[in-house]
Amino acid sequence: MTPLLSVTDLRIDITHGAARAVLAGVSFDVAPGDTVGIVGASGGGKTSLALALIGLLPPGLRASGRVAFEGRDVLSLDDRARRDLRGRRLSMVFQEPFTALNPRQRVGAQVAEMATAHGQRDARRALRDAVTMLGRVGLAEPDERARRLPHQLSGGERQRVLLAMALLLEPALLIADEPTSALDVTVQGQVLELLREQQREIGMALLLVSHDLGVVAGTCRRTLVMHEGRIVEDAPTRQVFTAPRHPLTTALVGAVSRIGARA
Amino acid sequence: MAARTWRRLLDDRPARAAAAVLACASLAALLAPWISGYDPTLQPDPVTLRLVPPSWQHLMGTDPYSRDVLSRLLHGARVSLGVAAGSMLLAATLGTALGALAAVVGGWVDSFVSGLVDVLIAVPRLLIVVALVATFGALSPWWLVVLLGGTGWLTTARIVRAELRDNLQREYVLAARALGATKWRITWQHLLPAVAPQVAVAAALALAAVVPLEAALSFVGLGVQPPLPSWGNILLDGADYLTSAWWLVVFPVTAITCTVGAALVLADRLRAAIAGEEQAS
Amino acid sequence: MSAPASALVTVRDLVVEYPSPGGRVRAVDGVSLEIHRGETLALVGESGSGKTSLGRAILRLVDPVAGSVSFDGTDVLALTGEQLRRMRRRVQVVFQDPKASLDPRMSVGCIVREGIDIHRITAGADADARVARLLGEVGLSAPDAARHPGEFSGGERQRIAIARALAVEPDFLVLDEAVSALDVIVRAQILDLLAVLQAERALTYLFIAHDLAVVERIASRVAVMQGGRIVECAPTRTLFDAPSAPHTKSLLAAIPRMPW
Repeated sequence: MTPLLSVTDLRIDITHGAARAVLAGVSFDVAPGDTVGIVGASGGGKTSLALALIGLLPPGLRASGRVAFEGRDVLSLDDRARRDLRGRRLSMVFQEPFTALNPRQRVGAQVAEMATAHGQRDARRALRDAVTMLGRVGLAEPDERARRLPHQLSGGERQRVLLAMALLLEPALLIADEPTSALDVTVQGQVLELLREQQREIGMALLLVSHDLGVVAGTCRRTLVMHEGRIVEDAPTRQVFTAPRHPLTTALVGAVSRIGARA
Repeated sequence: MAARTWRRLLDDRPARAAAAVLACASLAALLAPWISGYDPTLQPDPVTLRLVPPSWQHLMGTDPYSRDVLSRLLHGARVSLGVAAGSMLLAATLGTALGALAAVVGGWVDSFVSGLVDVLIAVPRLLIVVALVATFGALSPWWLVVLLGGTGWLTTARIVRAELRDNLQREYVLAARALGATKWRITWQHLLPAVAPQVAVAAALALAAVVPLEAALSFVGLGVQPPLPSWGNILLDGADYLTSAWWLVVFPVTAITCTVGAALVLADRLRAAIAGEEQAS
Repeated sequence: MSAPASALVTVRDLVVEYPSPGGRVRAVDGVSLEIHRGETLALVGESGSGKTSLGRAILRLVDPVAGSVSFDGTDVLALTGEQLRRMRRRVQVVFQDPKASLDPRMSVGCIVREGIDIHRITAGADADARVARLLGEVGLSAPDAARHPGEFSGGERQRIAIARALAVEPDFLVLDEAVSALDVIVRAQILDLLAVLQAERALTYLFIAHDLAVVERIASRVAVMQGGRIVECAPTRTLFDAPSAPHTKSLLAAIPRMPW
């Protein structure tokens, strides 16, 4: 079966000077409907990888190599084609929900904009779908919440809004970069469960980036461990835990709380 | 961060060019008594040397009173730039002090200062200046400095107040409080350095505003009084000869334009440096 | 009822309110607790539980509207001016955000020195020597004093923040989500550092966190906050093995389960 996402020797360099590459040649595949976790210490290149996949690398960084999504090379697409891809087939949820939302626009409208930007002509229908989605991501009283501005929502609610935006058009692949780091523990669990649910319901593939193996463990079938711009381990999650090969992996496993195992 | 902002500015070519222009103008002004060939106020020969076009003896020609225009321009620079710099410094100091006071002390002090700024900012500065000059008569350059400085601090105060209030919420300020720092220490060590680049931008803009303002005042006879030269009153002397003696107008206007342009470029590049630094960190 | 002699910090019926668009919000709603000398009390709660406000009230960075806070027998809320400043030497804090809690314009050396200068503990070369020693204690090196916070990683910046707090030789340290913004490996390193420093300097810690899992290793007692109140306070082992409050149970249940 052709992989949904195929990354071959992806490199990310800083365009002006600097010796070390941000990403020094990374290769992996994601099958349709698969759940893959990417873990590593901060600065290891995980976020840059995620941004490169979706074509949102900040100006100062340059990607090279091949990233094939549904057969097409994402890196060589022009802006318009990339924008078309984003949200519809390939979505991303970022770590800090506050900065990713427009502070001056009601959240319902922002979610609806996902649909209208991708061809939905009927604005009212888009808004209705947005509200439905907000309900499905677990936002209580979605009609009421849809009319609020981002700062009038809690951190957990904002993250759910971002999820609604990312899931609205039922993408084939969702890249979630530390989606739970800014959230309370109880909300973390709910958001992860939500991701798993979506994954089951629409057959969405999930790429979950985190510095915490614990977050990845319950959700991802396969885990990649990144260290200083390279993949040092690529194995089924269980194996990463029970038989780690790289010292970083061992350290990450050790840092995960063992409390859960007790129960 | 401030050090890096200045370094960014130094790397910027337009900024360097603008700074060079201002430096030249200032240098010329300072050295005027020594580099100008003629006494700017003497009228050596009102008959034959009157309105001589630019020549090797008089690089910028002579004015209706046979005075060398270049010498007058150089001495005029002393006055015009001196008044501009002086009022800029006064405005920057007043604006920073009052803005900081309003932000840090808060309460009724803040209400008072903010209210004052809001009211005064609505009144056209030119009107106030003209009214005051009309009341008190011809002013010496020192009083001009006070007048222009005293009416030019409003925007700076607003900027400083807004920045400081914003920074007061930052965690490093909270940490300083937890260490036992007094409000004044926090203002001096943490807050003012944070706002210094913006004050510099406001000061550059103030300079750009004051030079033409002083020139305009002197041109209508309300500013620097003859025979003391200023760029404005050189123009005044040449007003009747606009079409026949172009050098009386072109050189002062060029001087003013270059100075103002340089100040504006500097302000703009500094603003860009500040924004660039913020994006990078 | 008088507090036992070993209580370093005593909080009684504390109430902290904030103005908010809809009126006033009660962040801390009548909290009482004691922190004993040498212990690490963890204060755990979700966002909005009031834990940060409680910490700030104890530090007297916000003023409560009711209740009392006493430190080593002294009524903290009654202190003013010079006395308050002297108390600040003994009660220090490390904040959550390594980026925001250090002034980006100051050098690391100046940052760590600030407390020394404020309280005139020492000056000149002696102060610089102290700064160098402190940097060493937190795992950095003396030449780092000349650099700026922006050149360091999150974990290193927290070390600088710890050095800054220790410079005034406090007895009591409030760690306000001090490791929450760090990744797991660095988190573990900083927790180890804090444990070492506590033993070496006989410090008492109030460790504020939103994740129960983090506090299991380092806390001797845990207080759980919800809605401005303390719903449970017990020795760590007891809390984890036999929690009584429903909120504690849901916090424990939220810790990601290890499937293996």
